Amino acid sequence: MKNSTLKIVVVFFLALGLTTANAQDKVVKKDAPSSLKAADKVKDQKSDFDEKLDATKGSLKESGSTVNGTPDQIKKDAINKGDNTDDEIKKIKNAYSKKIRSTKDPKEQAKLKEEMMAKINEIKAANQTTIKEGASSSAGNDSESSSSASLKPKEKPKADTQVNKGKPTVAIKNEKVSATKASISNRRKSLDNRKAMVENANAKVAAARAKLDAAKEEGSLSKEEIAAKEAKIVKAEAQIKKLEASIDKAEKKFDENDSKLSDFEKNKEN
Amino acid sequence: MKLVTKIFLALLFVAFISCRDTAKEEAELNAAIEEVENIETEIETISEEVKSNADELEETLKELDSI
Repeated sequence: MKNSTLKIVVVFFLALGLTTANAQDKVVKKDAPSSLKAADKVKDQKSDFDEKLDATKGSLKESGSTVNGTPDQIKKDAINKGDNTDDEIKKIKNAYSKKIRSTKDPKEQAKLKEEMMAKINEIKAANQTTIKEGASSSAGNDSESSSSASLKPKEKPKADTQVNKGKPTVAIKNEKVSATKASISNRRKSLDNRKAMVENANAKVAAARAKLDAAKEEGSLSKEEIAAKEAKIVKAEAQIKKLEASIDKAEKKFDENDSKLSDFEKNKEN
Repeated sequence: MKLVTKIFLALLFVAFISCRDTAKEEAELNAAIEEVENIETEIETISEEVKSNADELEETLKELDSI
């Protein structure tokens, strides 16, 4: 073979390699924002769902206090069961995401994803049956019928499984870092609400103590009543301290994790 | 050595280097992703703890209202 032919072949392959690399780069750049949008959407759906769930839990609590305790207990069990299901689903997702990441073959990845979805659906179906049983056994009450209708297993919005398909791991990492950062900032906001709650609680405790002192001076309460009320106040104070401590701990952890994530982001830029 | 052999060896060397780098990068990325996942779990646990404490306090405050 002549030297000139060889040169042409080498230049051709080099050009081919460069074009492929460029195309891959473009795909990564194109995919990243859409994936972030999808992640944001999922997060919004999750927060909506959490709000609905909190509302349902609240209504269940209220209905349980006016009706007898048995249906309430059944529903609480159902909710607890839902929480356990979430944990199980999370575990399955984590295990499979590791497997999927370690596998390079797209066919194998698709197979693993299908397997994962099948397992999750199985668990969800089992959970739904349990909750339906709980809801039907407590039927016969108007307020309950509406709450049982809204009491479905915690169906967290599904992430688009196609989003991560064939995407380089760098993009997944960047996505996760951004999503976690956003989640931390949201949780910080909720911590601010908790702080406001602590302030309100302190004010309530101070008011209750003043009331009790006034009652003591008047002598309108028996010793047992005074002791019972004192105990309630002490309990509230202890729980305020507990909440304050957990808020401090959470803030520290958030700061720590935020800086870790910033380091990841710096590495990403490098 | 013929030119073809030289080119072939050079390509082989480049391929070897790039494969090794990719494997190392992938391992690093996987470790980073795992760490981010751990952070997520940690954050969730702490938030749950705060939430449960807040719920408990709310219940106790309701009792305080009766004083």
